[in-house]
Amino acid sequence: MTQDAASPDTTAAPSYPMERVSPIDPPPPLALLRSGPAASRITMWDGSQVWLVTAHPHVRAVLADRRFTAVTSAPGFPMMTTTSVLVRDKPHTASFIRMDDPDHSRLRSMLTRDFLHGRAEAIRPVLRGHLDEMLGELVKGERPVDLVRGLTIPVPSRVIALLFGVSDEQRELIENRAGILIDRGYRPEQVAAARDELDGLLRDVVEERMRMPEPGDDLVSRLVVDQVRKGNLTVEEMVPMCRLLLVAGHGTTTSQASLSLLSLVTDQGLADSLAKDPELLPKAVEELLRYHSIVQNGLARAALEDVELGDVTIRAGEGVVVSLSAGNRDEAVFPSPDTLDPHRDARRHLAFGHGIHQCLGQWLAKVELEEMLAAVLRWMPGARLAVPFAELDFRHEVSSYGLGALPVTW
Amino acid sequence: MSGGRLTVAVDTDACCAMGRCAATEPRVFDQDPDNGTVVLLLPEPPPELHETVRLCAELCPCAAISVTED
Repeated sequence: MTQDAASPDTTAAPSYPMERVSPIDPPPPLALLRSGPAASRITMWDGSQVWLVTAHPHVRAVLADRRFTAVTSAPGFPMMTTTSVLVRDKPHTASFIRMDDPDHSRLRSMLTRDFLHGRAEAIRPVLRGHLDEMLGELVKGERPVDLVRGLTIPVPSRVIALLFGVSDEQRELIENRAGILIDRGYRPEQVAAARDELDGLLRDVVEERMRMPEPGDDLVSRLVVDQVRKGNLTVEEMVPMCRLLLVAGHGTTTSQASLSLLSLVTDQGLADSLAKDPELLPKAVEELLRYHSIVQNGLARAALEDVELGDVTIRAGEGVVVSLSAGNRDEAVFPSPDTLDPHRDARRHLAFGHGIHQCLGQWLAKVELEEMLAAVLRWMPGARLAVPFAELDFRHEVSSYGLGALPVTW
Repeated sequence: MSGGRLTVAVDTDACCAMGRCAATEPRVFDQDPDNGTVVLLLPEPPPELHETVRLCAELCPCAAISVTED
């Protein structure tokens, strides 16, 4: 069956994002949609209707296909949040995640070296040292311990401070604003103000490095020396680039780590498997990425020309949302998809996206996740949830789904 | 697949230097230490590596790896 977008059936276009029933599983209607046509209509918060893609092969196909643009100001582009509206209305402030090639790859390739697998592995021992210090302090204090405030917020934060070479004071200011950008609980004007302030703070960091004759050995300094001073990159391009690294690297890691630790302290099978076989950790982290799929509302694209996606024709100028969490629970790729199984080969998961925009920081994220889980196993053996599960504060409004707090005892 | 021969080709222009291939099957793929671009070590890997090589092609975010089987 080919659906014609010219006459969309409004009654059959449910509101998106859909509501969860279980806080751990994606909204149930996604599973139904996945067994239907390759794309179905949804209604966004601003009243617009776009396509939703849920099956693993189709999510992959859209993200790999350059006929689907990531440019937010393109006709029909789905407005996921108020931040999308800001980017649409101020296209010159877009970072490269909102660009197509060749613009995207010109900017992204300037960062490749800093995010290679080997670079992330080099950070591992440094991070392990920080973690032993942090957890050594935490276990001396009162129980229960909140692992969000005590661990999953500060760890990505320290890693970003290492990358950026910023002071603790600068870091706190920057992260406060970055957190507002991904939270749907804030009003549009608050998001706009936070984004402008964040850009101002990042510009200060960049300009501070520009004034130094020999800036340090951090990523921002290297960009100044290797790119800005050589005329390959302007400060106007560099500020959104730094903003992207912050927004994409901090809240996401915190969310994924918080939910992964929740699984560790509530799933005895997972805890036993990891305690028995520490070698299983990288595999378990891939599975936790699949299972939790924290980019809960998926990714937006718009068709630049007519595209046949399975049994559906997506017309030029129509918007598409691909659901990473639905794709990651596709039983055709992951048998018993709603079971968390650390022994499963989950490497085909879509948690980092697919295509040219696939997460640049994925190696670093995996090192951080593995080390945080290992540190909790090391320092808090037998850790368990210190409050009833029903009292947990799941962050439904944040684009990277996570937890407000994770009180544990051991 | 019948003949059991598998040939790998890489497109360094399409490569986005994510390094998933080199991490998944380091006997067949490596990365340029400077820019991360794929380096093909074994264009005709032995049968015991075929399964992971197919997985590498599938995992490559930028479709830079192609596998021909005959």
